[in-house]
Amino acid sequence: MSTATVSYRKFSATGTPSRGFGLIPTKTTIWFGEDHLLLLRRTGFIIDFHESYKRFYYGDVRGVTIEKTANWLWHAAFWGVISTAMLACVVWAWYLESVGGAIFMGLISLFFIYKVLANLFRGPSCLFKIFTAAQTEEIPCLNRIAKAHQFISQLRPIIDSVQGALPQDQILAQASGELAATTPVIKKRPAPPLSLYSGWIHVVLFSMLLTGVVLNILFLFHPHAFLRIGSSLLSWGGIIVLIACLVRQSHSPLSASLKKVTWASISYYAYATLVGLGMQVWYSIDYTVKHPGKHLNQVELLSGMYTELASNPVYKWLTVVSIILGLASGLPGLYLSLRHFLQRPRPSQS
Amino acid sequence: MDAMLECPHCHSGFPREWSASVSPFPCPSCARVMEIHVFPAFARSEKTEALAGVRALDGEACCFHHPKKRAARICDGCGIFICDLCDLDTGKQHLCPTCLEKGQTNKKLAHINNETILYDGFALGLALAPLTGMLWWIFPLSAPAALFFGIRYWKAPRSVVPRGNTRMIIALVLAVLELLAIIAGILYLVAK
Repeated sequence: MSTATVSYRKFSATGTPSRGFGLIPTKTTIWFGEDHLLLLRRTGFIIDFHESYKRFYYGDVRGVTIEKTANWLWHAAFWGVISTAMLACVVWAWYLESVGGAIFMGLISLFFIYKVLANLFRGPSCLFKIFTAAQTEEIPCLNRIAKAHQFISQLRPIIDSVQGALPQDQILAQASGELAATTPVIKKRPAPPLSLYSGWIHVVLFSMLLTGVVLNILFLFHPHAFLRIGSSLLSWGGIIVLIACLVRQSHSPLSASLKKVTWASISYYAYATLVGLGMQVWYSIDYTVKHPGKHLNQVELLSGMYTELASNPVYKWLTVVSIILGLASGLPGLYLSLRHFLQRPRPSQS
Repeated sequence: MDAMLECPHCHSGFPREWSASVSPFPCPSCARVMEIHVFPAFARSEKTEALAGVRALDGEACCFHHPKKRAARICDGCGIFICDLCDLDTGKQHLCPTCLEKGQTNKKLAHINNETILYDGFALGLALAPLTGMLWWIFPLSAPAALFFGIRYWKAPRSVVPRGNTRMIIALVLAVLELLAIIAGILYLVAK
């Protein structure tokens, strides 16, 4: 029995499986062989010590599916919140005239900004699957739509040279003819009906969000503790409504863009919550240091904090960022939700 | 014919009008947005009768494992006659089930091997572990172990994809340096 050697060409993509996070990390890569695709999984912590392979022969590959996922939005929100918080720390350190601290925090925040930009540059995420007659296999390294299309453009000529080149419609027409002749008709699973959700919770959410933004704008010009407290209450209420919206929009006839904007509004609420809590902690520590032995109740803390913060330039800039985030998700969200609400199908009146 | 393609997520069939398009579209059942690209193999129906093998007539060569079936090929591993059912196409070779099993067990068939232990990674990990700081105390054990893995598995198959000797060389150099440090330390203690 002879040992055969195969030469492989790597497709430039690396990824981790989307499910099943184990104790030991796994990386996957995909390689073009002479007569097959090789899916390589490397296991190891920093240094790899095990490899496993799956082969897909070009003659057996029946097709691929690309399923859009929201992972990149989650990543954008996660890294965005962290990098914004880090930048806020830089501004704060600068404000406290700690140049060393500002440089240190700046270097850390550069890493998070790189993660945000890299995520945005790589584009929308997806779940890529290859199917043959016997199996359907997820390819974790092809987790971005742009990368998946690039891969298909390289794979298609190879498959065409092995299986023959046929247009998509012709393949499907042939398949439907052969399947009709050889297999019994598959009983189609009935699709669950789409709910008749009018989108009113979304209208409430984006109205609350924009009201909070308006209060923030007013606070910039006429600083008053009540405006800030009102905006905080709206934020907390908004988070509850946001959860209701995310639950309700699943299996609903809302447009994909409205669903995305709703997801994106998480970044506003996360930012507002983090800034609010951060400032509260900072003010409490600052007050305790300046007035040792004296304690504040919650009302004194809030009113004192907002009165003092009104003159704080760092807090003003953080509020400006919050306004920008709020307007970026609130305006398109309110427009789309109102459009859906007004154009919803109504029961016919006899 | 109503259903041709299946949603990879919920496994419900798409009606024909959906499958005519390859642009992103929502699954009618689970509403996940996806696109599907099909290749000509998709239209190929399975010829189950051919796979089952043809019955051998008098005087015809028959399969070693199925004497009633006509031989279709010769096994590239052991040279016996095999029918369509026993013929296992591994891309490079046509093997009988016994040779395929042997090849997988002995790791002799690189093109069907489905896993490899990366000994160079092991050796490098062992050589580097004491240098990380927290695990410095394991170097009297890890350095000889790294040297052992480096020498014992120097010629072991590394990977089916290109992978150089760099890791193994670094591991060996580090292991030797760590062993020299151990010897120097012992000599110093003895001299003192």
